[in-house]
Amino acid sequence: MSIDQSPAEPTTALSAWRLLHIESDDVDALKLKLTLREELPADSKVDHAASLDEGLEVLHQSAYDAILLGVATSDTPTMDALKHFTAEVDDTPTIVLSGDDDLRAAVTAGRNGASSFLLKSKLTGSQLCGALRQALQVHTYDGQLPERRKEPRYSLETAAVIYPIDADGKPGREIAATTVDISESGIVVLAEQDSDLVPDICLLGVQCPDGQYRYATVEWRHRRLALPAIRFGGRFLRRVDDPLHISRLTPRFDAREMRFTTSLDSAVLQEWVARGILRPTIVDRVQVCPQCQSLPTFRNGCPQCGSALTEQSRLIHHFACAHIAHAAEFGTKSLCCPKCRTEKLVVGADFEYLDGTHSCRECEWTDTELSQIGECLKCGHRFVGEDGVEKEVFEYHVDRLDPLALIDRA
Amino acid sequence: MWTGWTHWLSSIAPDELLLIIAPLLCFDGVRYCFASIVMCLWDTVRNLLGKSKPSEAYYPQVCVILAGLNESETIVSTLQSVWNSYPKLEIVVVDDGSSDGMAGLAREFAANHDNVLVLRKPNRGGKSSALNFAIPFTDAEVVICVDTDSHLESHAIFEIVQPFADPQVGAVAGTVLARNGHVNVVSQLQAAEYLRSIFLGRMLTSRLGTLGIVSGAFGAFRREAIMATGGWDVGPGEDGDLVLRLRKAAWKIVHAPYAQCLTNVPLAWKTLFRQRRRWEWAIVTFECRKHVDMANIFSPNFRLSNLMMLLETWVFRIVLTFAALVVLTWLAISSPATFGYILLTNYALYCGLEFLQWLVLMYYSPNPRRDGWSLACLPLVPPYYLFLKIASAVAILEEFLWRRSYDDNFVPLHVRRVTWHW
Repeated sequence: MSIDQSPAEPTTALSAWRLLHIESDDVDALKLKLTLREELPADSKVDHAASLDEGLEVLHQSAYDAILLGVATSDTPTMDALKHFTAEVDDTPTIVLSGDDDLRAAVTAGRNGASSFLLKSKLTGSQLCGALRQALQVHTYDGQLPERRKEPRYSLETAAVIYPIDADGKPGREIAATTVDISESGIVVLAEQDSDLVPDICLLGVQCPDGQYRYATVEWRHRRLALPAIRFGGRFLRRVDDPLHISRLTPRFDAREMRFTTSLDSAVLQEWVARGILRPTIVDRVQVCPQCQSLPTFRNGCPQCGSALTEQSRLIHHFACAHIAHAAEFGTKSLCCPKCRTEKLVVGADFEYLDGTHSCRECEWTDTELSQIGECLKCGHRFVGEDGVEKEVFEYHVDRLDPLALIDRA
Repeated sequence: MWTGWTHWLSSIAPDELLLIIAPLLCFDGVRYCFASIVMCLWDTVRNLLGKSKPSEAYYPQVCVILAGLNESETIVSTLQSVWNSYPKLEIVVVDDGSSDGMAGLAREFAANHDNVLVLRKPNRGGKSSALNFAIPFTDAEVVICVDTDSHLESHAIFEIVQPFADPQVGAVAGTVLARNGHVNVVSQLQAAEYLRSIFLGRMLTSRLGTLGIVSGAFGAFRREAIMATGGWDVGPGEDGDLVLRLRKAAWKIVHAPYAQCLTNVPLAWKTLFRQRRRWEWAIVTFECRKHVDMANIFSPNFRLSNLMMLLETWVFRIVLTFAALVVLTWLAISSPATFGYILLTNYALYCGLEFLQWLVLMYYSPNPRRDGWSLACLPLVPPYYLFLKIASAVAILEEFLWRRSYDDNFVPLHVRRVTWHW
């Protein structure tokens, strides 16, 4: 992968620029054309007009993103003409290209409405593109630019993979691609693929500078032929529009089914996991009903019938004679030891209570220890705790593409 | 010295000899030796006549109670030795308020093994209450108490339940032997002593019908008998106390010599001295105070065997203990010149008696190779028994005079404070 950093300047357009170059000098016109040939975004168009009048005529016929106005000298008649011209084309940013390095020409041009002033003799492609970008941005802030030109885009050339997302959410056959440029909200890629095979919503994996692929869900807005490839331009899907949004990958408790589920079907998630795009992570282990896999409640109860209606007998330990028997044997009012006949026993000083056996009110079971009993909240099935099935609850992660990080690098 | 001793022996008259060996006669060894030789001859004749018929045909439901305090180091190995050693067996582990995670270890074991129940008392209440705590949780016909640091030999439970085929038997004493007998001289001497006094001695008293002790380390009780007598009373010596109460209630107490259990014995003279003091306190507390009514011939519960048992304890374990020490002291003072010869004479005779007893032991021992080494301890046995006599005398004296058993921390303070001081 490589990000073209040296010659590329940020561009302001989603697609190609349409420029009008007004230049009476044919040699200068040719020089500028050669200068811009390598610098402008692909498919950009530079029309040429030989005079201001001809330029106005062309402007009346079609719209342009910017005007490059070449002037020979900074003499007064030329400046007056320039003032008239800029008044006529107030909507379109104008960059004055002068052959004279006189400061006066620059000041005049600025006063007369020009966006920028450059010297033909020192003109470079990157300088001109920078000026154009600045001019177009000024227009953006003024609210004059078309909507598609609102966000700056940065050229980025790196490997990418397009995963079509089927109607049921499963990944389709992967398509190799190359990124062209990127903005905060969108991306343009080139892919050698039949346009019809790529649905509107895809998962796009972009190889980042660390070599790892990171993914974003993209909705393709336009497809253009850029032989031998097809140029796909789209915006990143955020929030609920994203089929792989985190809310669809995180388990939530479904109170109707009494179980943890994700919005996406587990079979679909497994397909994405198999492609190496989603990473499952265990967030918890839960005991579930062995019959219906729903969540149960757990409490101590009868190991025979599972009932919670149990009662425990109470024993008394008489310290003096070490006798231990059911509390009922010691009488009800004034406690008397049935072994040694000592009366008026005082708890703590003469005796202590001890836990006796448990018995179930719903069946005949009696024993010393209750069991942990699960009762399914969905189907009501009762089972001994150790018969419960332990199930892992997964959440899924995807390495998200951060456009800003790539923009910073670009 | 040897010549001097033989000359001195040949010079004394028979009546003088009786006086000289009086200390020896005061020791248990003499009567046990002669009685066990008689028993041995009797059994030999019976065997020759084919009248001996050991059987393992009785299989009642059994509950083994393992009650302990802070025994986390040994509880699991004890459980392993008991579990699955008998077909109809349930195990109840009672943690008497331990702070070392004993109940947790037992519960881990119970989770993987059937018929193991773990009970935990929130506060320490003493061994008696721990044993009593298990009783409401079992319906087994026979309850067996095993110390948590003990290891049951194979077939021990089979052996110990056989006497319960007789419905009059209320308790059966198992044979407790030393598990760590080869560690040092102290443990070796105790191991030899256990073989003679528990294995052989209780076999003899059981036949005479005067067995008055069932070791807490390994003893079996009919649950019905325990329920009828109210279970164990506050200790120390609660095992002997329960047996005396069972005897009062006319239950038979017998010994199963081949139901053997290995237990850890003290490894230092000091701890051994303390242990024996605690044991001997119980003689005074129970045989001389609490259950002295067993000697009342006008009591409706009077039985001659109980009186004989009490008399045996009073005479041989109390009177003759002091008599032996008094006679020895008197001889030392009155005949200081020949006291060495007197001691040597007693020593030689005692060794001879011990050897005879060893022969009897070998006759009855189920594993002569295991028990035969006790002959090596023989030269040290007489002074060892003298040490025990001194410990016994100290204990009896302090219990008679100061009731020291009620100051012992074997029973927690809140229980000691409210229980009866006999």
